[in-house]
Amino acid sequence: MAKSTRAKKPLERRQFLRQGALAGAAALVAPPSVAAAQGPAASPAPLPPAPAMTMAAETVPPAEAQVLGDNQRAGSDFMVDVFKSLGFEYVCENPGSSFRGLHESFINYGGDRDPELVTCLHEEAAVAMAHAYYKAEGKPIAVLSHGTVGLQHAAMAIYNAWCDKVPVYVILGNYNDAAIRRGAEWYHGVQDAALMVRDYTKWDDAPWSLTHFAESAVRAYQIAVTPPMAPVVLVLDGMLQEGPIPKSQHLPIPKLSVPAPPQGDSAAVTEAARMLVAAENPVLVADRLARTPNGMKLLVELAEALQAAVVDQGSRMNFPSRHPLNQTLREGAVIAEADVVVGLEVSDFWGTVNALRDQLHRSTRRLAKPDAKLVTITTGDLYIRANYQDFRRLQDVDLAIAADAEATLPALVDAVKRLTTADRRRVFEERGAKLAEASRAAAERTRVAASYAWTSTPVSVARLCAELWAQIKNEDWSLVSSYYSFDVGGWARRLWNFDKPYQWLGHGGGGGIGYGAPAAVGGALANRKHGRLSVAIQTDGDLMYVPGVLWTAAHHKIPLLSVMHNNRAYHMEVMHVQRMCNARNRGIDRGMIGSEITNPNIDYAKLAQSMGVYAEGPITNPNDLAPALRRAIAVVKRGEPALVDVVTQVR
Amino acid sequence: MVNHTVRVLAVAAAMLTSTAGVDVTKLGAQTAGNDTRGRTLYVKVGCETCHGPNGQETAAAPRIAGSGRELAAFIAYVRKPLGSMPPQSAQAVSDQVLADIYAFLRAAPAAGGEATKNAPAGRADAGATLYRKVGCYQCHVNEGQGGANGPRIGPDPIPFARFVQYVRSPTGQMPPYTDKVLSNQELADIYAWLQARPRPPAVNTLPPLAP
Repeated sequence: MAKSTRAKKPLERRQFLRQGALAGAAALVAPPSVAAAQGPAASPAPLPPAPAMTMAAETVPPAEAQVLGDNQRAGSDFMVDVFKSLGFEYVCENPGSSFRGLHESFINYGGDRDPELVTCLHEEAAVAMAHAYYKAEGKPIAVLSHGTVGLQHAAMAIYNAWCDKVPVYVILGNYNDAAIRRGAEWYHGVQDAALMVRDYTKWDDAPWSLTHFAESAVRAYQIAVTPPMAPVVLVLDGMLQEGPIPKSQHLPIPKLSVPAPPQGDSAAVTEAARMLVAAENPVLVADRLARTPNGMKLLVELAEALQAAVVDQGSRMNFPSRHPLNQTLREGAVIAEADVVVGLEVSDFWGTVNALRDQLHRSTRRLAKPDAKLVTITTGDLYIRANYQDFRRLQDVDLAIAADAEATLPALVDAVKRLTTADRRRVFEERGAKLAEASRAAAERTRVAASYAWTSTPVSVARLCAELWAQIKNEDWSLVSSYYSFDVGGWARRLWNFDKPYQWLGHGGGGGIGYGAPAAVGGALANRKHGRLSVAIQTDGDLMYVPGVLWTAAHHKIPLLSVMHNNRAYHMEVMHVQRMCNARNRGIDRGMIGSEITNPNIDYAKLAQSMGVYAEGPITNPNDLAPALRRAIAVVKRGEPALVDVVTQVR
Repeated sequence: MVNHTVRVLAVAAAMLTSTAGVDVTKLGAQTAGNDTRGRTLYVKVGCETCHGPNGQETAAAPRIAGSGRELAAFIAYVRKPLGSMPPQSAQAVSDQVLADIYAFLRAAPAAGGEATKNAPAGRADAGATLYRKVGCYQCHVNEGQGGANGPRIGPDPIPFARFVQYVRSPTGQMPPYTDKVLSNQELADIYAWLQARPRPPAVNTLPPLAP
């Protein structure tokens, strides 16, 4: 009997830790059971609670029962209840022992449904998949990872999501209690797991109890999806996951309340509308504007009300590519002519109205007219961190509205319509006709430009994009990843008709290579249930960071057509090295060293085939492209991934 | 709003006056352009923003390098352009400035001949190798067709004198090549290869380029 009494004490203490909503408050006003557990000598004087690891470090003989009793469940079962309440459809994970309790609960207690585990072969892939999934679906999915080695793999991808203002919900495992760690749990253990990504996440917590966990889990979700959106991190203690709790115990799950995003101050919005209505050449520049499909509709409404030029910088699908007011191909021209420029969630507004010349002695010049009025509407003004410099150079503006641009557009559209007189409308219509003619001419010049090098080998990228477009344009397609990180000037964006919000998912945000391939699979995962044909223009250098994501696509039957833009080098870096060769006047002959991916050439078709993906190539003759694409699309339409390796020109 | 409309009308009136003010018959020696000045003015006036650093075709604007248009017609067009090009009034940009820019685009003083006549004989086959070896293809792409990082430079390259000048001392983002790393003869070889690039088939004969 004495033995069982001794065995009971620490269990009660751990229950106290798991269940206590506020450990400090619990110490001040200890409930009877806790007071009893602390012994008859418990003092009424307030004492700080004993740290969990100190309490558990007490030498306690193990209880006889080593499995959950019929009246018990695991702490991580409750965690799954909470995650289900948040509506996660998937959890992208690479398995790790620090979350083995939660892993087991997901697949057995949770039935591997809503969320379903998606097996990734690298944490960087898991985060990038979740990143792109959000942009396709408008809803976050979770990532599950070791708190140390897993997070270290994931860090670059989290940074991309941070720069791209995308909510990724990262769940980490960690064994806090040093007294009971197994061997690997020591070098997988960490005092403050989220520290290494705290500069580029919005919020994190390491809850001490299940009640604390439930609140933090819901809070993390709310914080992540409230603009400005960003990744969040939740660190879950291994013993909190694994320890038992009585089934009868009611642990509350807070209701998810997603805050409405902040709308611009009404006086400031009216002032912006006045400036726009009075302007002769207003330009609307959108970058991360369209948070939801409604964002594109609102920008179309605003642009048409003003007959104003629109530049879509392409971090989101902001504006139909062939809309007559779309002047993206003429960005420099319209900025130079503008008398009012309005930046809508533009991360680099300085770079929009100025240019930097990248020579030995760098210089800058203003692109916009000196007296052009500048207006910004962005949540970038609401939250900024110091260490990483993704906030860009400060641009002085005439009116800065700290608000979510999409949430502000309805009021701006109303104000513009209210202020527009019949006289102004006539001016707008003349302006719109000129802009329509300019965009038509630009599109025609682009088609002519694409026809150069049409028959050359390796395949020109313009030809590749044109051939792919010809095969998909009558399908319900979605370009889930494209060949530059920042390729608004790329051939797909220039040639294809993008008019639906899911047809373009933007780029990686931080320029971290290795985003493209997993982002394509994540976007395709979101598109799958909508029956969309997902296509990616996949660069070779990017794929080789995390090629295992092809296996994930095959294993989970994620339909995706990957067309390799295989130019056999990190050509962007070649350009940089070449610039240095020139600046130092040392000759360019050796500029490829360190950036080429040749000798041997990588056989991407075999790589994909080895992971169960249908693949063809390498294709060097452009005339072979269309038939190969048709065969691959037939495979994708059966619900599987396919890859066509095309040896291409540089860019 | 009323004030604004008045201002618009005033600007329009000024445009008409300045266009009417160009006497295309009296643009003789006094407006002969200086192509060295023109090179700087081309960037300063903002022509480069749409037409690219040397007046090649871009998505935003057509080619104006080596224009066959007469100076008087050039000035008249700039004063009252068609399409989306913004007009430049005589108050903002004088006839002399436009004459200088014109000389720059022609690659020689307006009174002189086309600089392409002075191009040394180049060997296109050697140029093909050099084009790749010295990295032109990185921005101007494998066949000189251009892309997001550099304009099309072949076929129909800009006049040779202008070509050499730009390679030696670019005004834009292009890294400079001195004669230490690329000789004039080598440039002539590359130029010959660019001249020899095939013209593309008519766009309308290429079904994948159908909108």
